[in-house]
Amino acid sequence: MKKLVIILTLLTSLMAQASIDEATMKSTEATSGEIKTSRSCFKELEILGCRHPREDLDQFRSCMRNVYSSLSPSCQKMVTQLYGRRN
Amino acid sequence: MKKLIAIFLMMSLFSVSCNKSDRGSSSKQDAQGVPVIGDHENNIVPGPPIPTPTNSNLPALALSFDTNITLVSFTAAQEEKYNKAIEIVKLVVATEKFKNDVVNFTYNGQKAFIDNKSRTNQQIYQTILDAAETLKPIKNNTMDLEVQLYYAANTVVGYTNGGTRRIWVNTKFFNSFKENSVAGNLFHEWLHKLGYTHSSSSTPTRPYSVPYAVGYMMGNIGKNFL
Ligand SMILES: [Zn+2]
Repeated sequence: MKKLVIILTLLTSLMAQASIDEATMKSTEATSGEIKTSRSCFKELEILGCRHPREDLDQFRSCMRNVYSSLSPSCQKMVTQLYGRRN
Repeated sequence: MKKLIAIFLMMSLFSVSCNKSDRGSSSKQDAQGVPVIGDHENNIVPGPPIPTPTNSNLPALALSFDTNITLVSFTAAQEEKYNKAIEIVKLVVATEKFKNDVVNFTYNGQKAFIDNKSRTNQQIYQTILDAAETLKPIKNNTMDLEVQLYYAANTVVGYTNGGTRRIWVNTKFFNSFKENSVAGNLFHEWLHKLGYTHSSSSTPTRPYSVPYAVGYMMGNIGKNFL
């Protein structure tokens, strides 16, 4: 009986740690407009010589600052939001 | 006593059924997964003055954050998709916005998460960068995980438990999610590996827990990298 209680206790603690995440939360799915906006911004940056951050994050970060004034307003907004403001 | 035993046996059966869909081979890669939260965040900064971005105060650990993820039961196409999501995780952690969203997170007027393990937002951000999973608490700045796909015709997006470095992701959702949402789910599940929990039922405060709120940030900021 003691053994059974120990096993049950162990089982209970394992179950207490289980995390089951249900699809009841709102989605973070992007709209086609959002995808288009961000892609066109990275395209602008690429044309100006800034490689995508997934290719070279360091190069992107310094390059993006150098070409900032040449970016379209929406692209300026996007990179400012992501990578910070002048203090 | 008999009744008690019967209840425990039923619960154990449930637990086993949650974990039985182990199949397929494993391949080394990255992963993400996610029950994803809210879509109400807008990626556009309001207000007209747009200052020039500068080198921010982003910690070096945010830029060096890495992943060590083994994918189990993935097809080549699923692997490709998951790897994109893993890339998104790294790109998001390397943003100023992610840091600011975590550090400045508020619930009910307080700068704090729900179920925060008595940690400040800044401390929580630091634990993310440290990436010391409770199962192997070494601060290696690396997300260490195994991700396994399974299919179930229910509402469970994914699950895990404290005794394993593995998370399970339901292809019912994975197949239709975009990579940023997969990244959000992956991050949510990984935050459990750091020891962060949330209510098992859908309470009004659960979205403000670390796994939900930060997983949501990941999914939303990740939209920029699709
Ligand atoms: Zn969870």
